[in-house]
Amino acid sequence: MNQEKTDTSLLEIRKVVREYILPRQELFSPAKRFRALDGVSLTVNSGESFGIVGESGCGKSTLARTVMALEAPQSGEICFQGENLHALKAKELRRVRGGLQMIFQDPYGSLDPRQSVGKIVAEPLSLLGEMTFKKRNEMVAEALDNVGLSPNDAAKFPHEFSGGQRQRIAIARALITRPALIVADEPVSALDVSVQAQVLNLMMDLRDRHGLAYLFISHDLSIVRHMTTKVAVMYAGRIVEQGPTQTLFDHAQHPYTRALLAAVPRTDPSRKKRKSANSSEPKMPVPNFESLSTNGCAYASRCPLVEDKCRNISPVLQNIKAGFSAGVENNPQTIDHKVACYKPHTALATS
Amino acid sequence: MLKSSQPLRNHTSSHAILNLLTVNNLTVSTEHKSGSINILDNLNFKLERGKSLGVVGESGCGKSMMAFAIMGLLPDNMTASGEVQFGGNLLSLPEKELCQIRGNKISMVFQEPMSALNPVLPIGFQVAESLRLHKNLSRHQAQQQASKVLDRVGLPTQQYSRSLYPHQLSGGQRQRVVIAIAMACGPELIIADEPTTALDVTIQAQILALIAELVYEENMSLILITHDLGVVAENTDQMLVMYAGRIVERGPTNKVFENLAHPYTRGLFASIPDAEITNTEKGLETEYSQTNRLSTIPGRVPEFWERSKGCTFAERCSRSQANCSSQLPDEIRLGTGHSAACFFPYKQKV
Repeated sequence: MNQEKTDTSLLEIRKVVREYILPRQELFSPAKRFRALDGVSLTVNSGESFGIVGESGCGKSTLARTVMALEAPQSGEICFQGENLHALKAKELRRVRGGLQMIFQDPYGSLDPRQSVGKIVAEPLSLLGEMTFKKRNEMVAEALDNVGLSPNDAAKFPHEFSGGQRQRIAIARALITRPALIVADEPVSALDVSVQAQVLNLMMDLRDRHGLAYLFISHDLSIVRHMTTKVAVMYAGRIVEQGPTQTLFDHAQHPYTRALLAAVPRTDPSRKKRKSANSSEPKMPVPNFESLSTNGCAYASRCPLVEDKCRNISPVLQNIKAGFSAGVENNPQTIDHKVACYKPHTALATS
Repeated sequence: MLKSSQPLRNHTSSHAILNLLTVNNLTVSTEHKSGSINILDNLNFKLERGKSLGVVGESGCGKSMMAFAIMGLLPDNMTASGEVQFGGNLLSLPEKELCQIRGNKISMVFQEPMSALNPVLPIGFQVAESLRLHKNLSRHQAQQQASKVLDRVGLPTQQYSRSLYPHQLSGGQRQRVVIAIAMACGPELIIADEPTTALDVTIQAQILALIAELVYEENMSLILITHDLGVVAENTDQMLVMYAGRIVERGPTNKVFENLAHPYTRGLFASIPDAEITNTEKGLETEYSQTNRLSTIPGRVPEFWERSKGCTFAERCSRSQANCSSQLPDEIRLGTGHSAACFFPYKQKV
């Protein structure tokens, strides 16, 4: 499927805008629009795991659906293996879809309870055209074997499996067309902690074995850190920070990324502190993505470092200047580390 | 905004009994086609006044059932035996008396704020409801008091009208309303069942801080039920680790995290990726761990009817030996208040 690729970029998302029309407040008032994706650009190379993090409502799942060509963006383009998905005709899109698969969040909702596992897993094969019955069964058996299930399980039905096993079935279904990219939208958030680790290990094994690329969407920062090599932090439909996972987590620049990282509970009881009534730490207001103005930084209303400029002109996503910090300067990895903020952390630290 | 000019409840005098809640041999059983099965098996624990107790475990381990059993809210097909001492034995109280305790002395914060709130009633009314019921306040007094409580949980009147409906609020704000309802009558014990699972991390941090603050100021006790080890580590004094209806490890939170004595606790801890350090840096010497991969606990949680006579974790455990699956291990004392129900607990610290 991906034999004739010359350049390494597998998926290119360029300035994608996706708006939803909200219900009108009054009969004759103009319908409001909600911008779920506001000029998102990113590149996923083949064999790479790219993480997307952000809170609910920030547009992560909309991005997944637009990448899967389940929804068309209002502007911008999404190129998969050099082809603009949203410019393709339906028939051509079907051909491309084989290289692009998705794993959904809820393994209870994403598998048809009335189809046998074999039928569920074989369904995407229709994309590859006619196929003999024998060949089909062989491929199903191979896919099930790949995810650690027995080929005999093909005759069973989803209700006979536990949550973790169901997610394995969903992975087998995604894998059967030998895709180059798998979009995983919160693949383990419905699973128990001990089972989560099993599924994540499986996903890493498959990546190594088949050279898969993942677009890994999650709200769980620790999982994203473990699974991905690059990561983008989204807020209100925009990417606010992007870079290699290790660099971004170690040297988070955007105040939102820093707040997000600080909010993750750690398994360290010594961090426990009794909050007193008049604790002076600023309370972060609750975001309301629907009421955000289009001008200025979307995070301005929650940001502790906000100044006038932030409210009026949106900061552009740009590389961190090497001069910001002497420590970061020599690290070539930071070249890819971009942030959309007037006051990134290292700039503050040095000034 | 959260200054406590006036506590919502008169503090009980300091000579009050130390243990607010004592649970003895709590067993919850139900009928299954394979016979009677125990959802909870002989739970024993105590909770001191003003302390917080974390309960961790995976889904199906019975942690929510424990909360329902204490509150007397078990489904009809389940029966509880044993003792839940809270003043008197709650399990033997008639429903009418239980109603006077529920929402008044013990109240609950639920996981999913949208389904815990009534969508067709304004938030002010919903908070006032329990005040009118338990405190015999007039409609007007109750509304005023409810307004004060909502102020305290971070929903000031100026911004959040008392006549708003739940759908007009965000998830975090809704959870604040649920907390306001829970603490309206000034309970002595709050049971929070996965209070932040449906929320984003930044909102989760706020809600947990709010609960901790209220519990501390009002000198309430807290049972915090969660599957998130991080939440327990940061918010509780004592903790219980539950597996398949039994308590497998218990102790002061810092002691449990220092030792991770039970193989299940250790396996659970090792299987979560850490946002700060990688697994190899953690230096966990478990048999499960492999480099660069997450360590996993093999297998899955057994269903209720599959549970063995012995240790329920035996078939997934790397340290299990012949007697594990046939004999039930007693809790072994490992330190002050710290014990694990295992024949072969890890003795070396993490």
